[in-house]
Amino acid sequence: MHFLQSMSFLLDWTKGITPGMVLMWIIGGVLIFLAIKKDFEPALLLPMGFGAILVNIPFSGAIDQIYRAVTGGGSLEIVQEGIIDVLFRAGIANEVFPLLLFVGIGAMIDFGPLLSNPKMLLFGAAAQFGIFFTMSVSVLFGFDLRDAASIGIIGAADGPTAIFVSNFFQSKYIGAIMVAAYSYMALVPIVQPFAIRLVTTKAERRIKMRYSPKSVSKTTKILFPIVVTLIAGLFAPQSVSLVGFLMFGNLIRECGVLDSLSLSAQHELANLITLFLGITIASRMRAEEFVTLDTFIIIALGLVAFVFDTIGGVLFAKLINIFSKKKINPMVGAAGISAFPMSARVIQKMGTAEDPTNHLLMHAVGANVAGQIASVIAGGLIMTLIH
Amino acid sequence: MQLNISGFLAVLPTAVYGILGVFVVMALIYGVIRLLLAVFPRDKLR
Repeated sequence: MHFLQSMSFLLDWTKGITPGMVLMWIIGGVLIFLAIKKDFEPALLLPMGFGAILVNIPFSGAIDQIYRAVTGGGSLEIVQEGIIDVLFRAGIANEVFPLLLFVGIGAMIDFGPLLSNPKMLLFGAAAQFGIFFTMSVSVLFGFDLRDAASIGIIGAADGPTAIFVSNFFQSKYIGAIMVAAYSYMALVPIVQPFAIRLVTTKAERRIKMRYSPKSVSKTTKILFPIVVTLIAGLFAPQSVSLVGFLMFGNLIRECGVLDSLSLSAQHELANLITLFLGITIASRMRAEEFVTLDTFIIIALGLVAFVFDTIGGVLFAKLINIFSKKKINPMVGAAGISAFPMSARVIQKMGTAEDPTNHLLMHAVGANVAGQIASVIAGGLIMTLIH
Repeated sequence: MQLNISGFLAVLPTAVYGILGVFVVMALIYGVIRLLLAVFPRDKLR
């Protein structure tokens, strides 16, 4: 009997387990399943799924635990730091991880198709409509303005921007926002065709666009990241670290004298940050914070953001077509969301499905990289407007 | 759940300024790119 009592420490977990924790194990399992079986953003969803399990184990040593120790003079609170919370404070609370990831993303992006057809920049702007629409709808649903802005930024369709902005606003919903942002990015091939068909006719989807590639001088490619940083920095100063790090990565790529650094940023740096980003986000996926009605509303609002981004881009293209002789396939407008390069691929696929000879890929890529810039600027403007 | 209609109406101007702001900044970038392309002309496609 004494032996069994002595061994009862092995059952301490039974005092801490809650139904919410078990639900989070299932949610973690679903995320891992989607990552492995369906190939949905595996680099992020798999670590997030595993992290969700890790932080929802009773008395998990992976997150901070507070113990009360009895001393001679009374009791003492002892904080035992957990690695996931340590990583959160070191990499997300101070916004280091999303910014470093942006150096890698900047180094990966070829802005050539956009520079060759700069009109596409405006589609990048139009496809941010969902951010502002969703922010307003979130307020309607009772979220305070800072949380609403963080929810709206799901429509940036860009993980690092969503982390940066929701962290700036100290949103308690960062875990749900990340799950929604990365899930819908993975679901772009399903969400976008649905939204595009809602607001286009078959004839519009069959509009042909000729692509006549024009080369862009190296000087322009080098000056582009510097100029974008200056303009975005002057007009939306809160965005300057995001835009600046994205453009810094791109300058490394285009300058032609830092190939080794460019490759490191594209591969080692981006991979290392990605490796820790997902599992660190799980710090905000604890059952007591995550298993709430608000989480489900946020996930639904994330869908609203993606749908209205897409609709915004398409309707803007249709508006341009009223005044322009050279017709634009409105589906290209939908590629103005930042989900790069999935969105461009979706538009190419939809274009060839309507007419096998209609190749929209390069136009869509131009709009898609414009969306990358516009989403960051939208994030910066939201932070400037609401603080 | 109660809908916060007054809050929604109050945030609408911010949302409109926000999307217009994105357009203004992107249009400026567009203008500067056109300028860059004109000053440093495109190479001939090889």
